[in-house]
Amino acid sequence: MLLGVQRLPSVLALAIRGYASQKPPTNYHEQKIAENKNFKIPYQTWEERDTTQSVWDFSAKTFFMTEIARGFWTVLMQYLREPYTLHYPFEKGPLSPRFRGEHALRRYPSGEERCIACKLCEAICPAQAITIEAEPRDDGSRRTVRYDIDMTKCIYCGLCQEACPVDAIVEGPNFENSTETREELLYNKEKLLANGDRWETEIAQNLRCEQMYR
Amino acid sequence: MSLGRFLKFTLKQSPRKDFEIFRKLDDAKWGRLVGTDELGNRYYVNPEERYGRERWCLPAASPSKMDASQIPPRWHSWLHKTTDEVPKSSPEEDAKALCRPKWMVYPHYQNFTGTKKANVTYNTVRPKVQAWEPAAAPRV
Repeated sequence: MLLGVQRLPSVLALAIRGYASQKPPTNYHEQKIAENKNFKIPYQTWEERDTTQSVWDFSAKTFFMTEIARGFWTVLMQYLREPYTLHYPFEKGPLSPRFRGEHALRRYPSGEERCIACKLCEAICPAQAITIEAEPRDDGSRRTVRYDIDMTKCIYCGLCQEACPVDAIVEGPNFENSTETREELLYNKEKLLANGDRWETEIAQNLRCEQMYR
Repeated sequence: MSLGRFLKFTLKQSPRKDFEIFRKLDDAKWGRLVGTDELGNRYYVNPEERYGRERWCLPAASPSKMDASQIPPRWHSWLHKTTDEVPKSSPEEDAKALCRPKWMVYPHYQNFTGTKKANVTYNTVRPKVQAWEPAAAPRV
């Protein structure tokens, strides 16, 4: 067999050469990384310190407590330097116009609510946080009578606003919606519409600056 | 806060204003007044500050009543550096710039959790089951 392979044309031999042409190592468990003989700890060890320092150096350092003084100096400098943190409620961090915060239901400029009860958001919601019920209204249009979002379930993935064909449900820029009780986070339709009314200017502004990419 | 920064802060403004800023912010900050929103919060900018701390807000509420959610939407986006555009003097003008009708401007309110105005959820659907009223006929 081996002889036959050697007699083959070189192109075919190239094609045949595969994983089996080189045996995988069988002892890779036992292979060890070669020890680096030149490695040196980048600071003085206790033994080196003992051998290099004279007893006078050591005694002077102990007697004058220079470590304590240097420690105090570090503390002082840290106390006087400017903080790295933001002073939060007064200074806030940068926020993208695509930020996905608290939900809001929007209205058309005519005052009509945008939601047409297509239930796409309810279908796509991976956390199943949205509950919708729809009924025909007196004027014949079909609208939601129940639009509940359980904000304790919501994972703020933004799939609802991507699924929405009329830009009705959006995740607004507000994230300061924390509550003291769990019940306050069960939003109904009125709360969502109120959110939409309150944040409309900023939502519209964010949607406008993102309109080329949507 | 360094001593140099504090000295600079005291020299920049009047002692009365210094006191107000220190009482509310608990920090020595000075800057150019950019504008005031409809709730009376004042917004300042100081490009010499460390990166990320340039824009800041001096709330109108007293320190015990201050809340992070008291900032109305357009100033919210300016303070969060979503836009560099400074909001107009009134929310109606802001709405006009965004082609929104005037009535779409709603007064901003803070997050009322923990107060009596906290959000209480309720059912928005009429009951689907009409309860049967048991009325037994009197025995003769």
